[in-house]
Amino acid sequence: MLKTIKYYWPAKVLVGLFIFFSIWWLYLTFFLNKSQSENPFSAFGYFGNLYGVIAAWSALFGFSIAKSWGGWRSLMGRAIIMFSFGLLFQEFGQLAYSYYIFVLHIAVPYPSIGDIGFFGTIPFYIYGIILLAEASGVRFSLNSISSKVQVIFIPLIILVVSYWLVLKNYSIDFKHPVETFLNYGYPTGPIIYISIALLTYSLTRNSLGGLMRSKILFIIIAFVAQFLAEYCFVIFQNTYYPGSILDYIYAVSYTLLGFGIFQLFTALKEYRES
Amino acid sequence: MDVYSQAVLKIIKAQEGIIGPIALEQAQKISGLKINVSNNEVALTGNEKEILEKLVAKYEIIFGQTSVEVCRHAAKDILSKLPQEQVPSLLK
Repeated sequence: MLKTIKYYWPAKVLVGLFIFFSIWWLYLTFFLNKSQSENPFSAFGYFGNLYGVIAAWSALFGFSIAKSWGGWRSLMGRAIIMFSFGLLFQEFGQLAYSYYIFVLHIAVPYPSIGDIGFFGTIPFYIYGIILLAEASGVRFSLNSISSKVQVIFIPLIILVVSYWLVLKNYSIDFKHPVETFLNYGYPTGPIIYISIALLTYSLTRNSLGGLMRSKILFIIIAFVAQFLAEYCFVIFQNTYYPGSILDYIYAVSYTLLGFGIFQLFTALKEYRES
Repeated sequence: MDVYSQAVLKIIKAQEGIIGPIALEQAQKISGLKINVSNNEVALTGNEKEILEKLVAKYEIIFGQTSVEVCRHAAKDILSKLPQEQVPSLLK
């Protein structure tokens, strides 16, 4: 981790951005009155519309790191491209929301163009984590009975918990098909990528080693953080206000995934020097 | 092309599919191994079994045992033509 900060300048900026937004969030939480968050032109409003810069920064350099891993032609390159697109779509969602708030001066409708960004992230993350699982050698671990049991039970347990926490509260409304689709899609998509991420860990923990072991584990942790951010938002969305802890959890998850991608730059450097 | 050269080529291609151009870059660092990518040609000079073992060990650095499994899987059919004692221990 420290090597990445030392040798890769965009990682220094990423850490700087994270510290900046953390201090800003602490200031909002402990020194300002929450009622100010109703004004989009307050420090709360600006925070809620700006922390996506972390995702954009990570995505931008993610594409360049993907290129050094062979880009589209290699599993690792393609996985990094997918993660970068996922982060970029998060920023797109946030910018679209900002457009409604600061340019059109209206409350963000649901569904809206912003949902193309926020929901669009999900397929990129799913495909990206599938590629990472493949690169980590999941297919070599699928022969045993215990592996097959994990493949069935890990997603099933997550699905049951998610249903109990979130999905049971929704009903199908054919008059609003897009809204219904998103209501189910937002909690279900992350179930798919977190299941694959956890399976990647459990199925390769004995075989995955070398320089990539810690780096891939870090990306899996980043996916857990992203999943928690999505679920916290879905569960506690009624308590949401710009600059709330829900926004901060997203900021943390963007930083973790961004840093996870940046560590892959260091992995290549270390490999070249080995 | 002899069995070892074919195995080397298969392994490099499989690794390229996972880690990209650094797979070839690392292979080119191994002494006794000359690779002509454009013609798909590989020339091994010296102890061929040892060169193949060094290649697999090079890839093991990045993903550990997973890399070894990828190499084994890629070269399985080709190496089955060799007597067991001529197959590098990492690939058995």
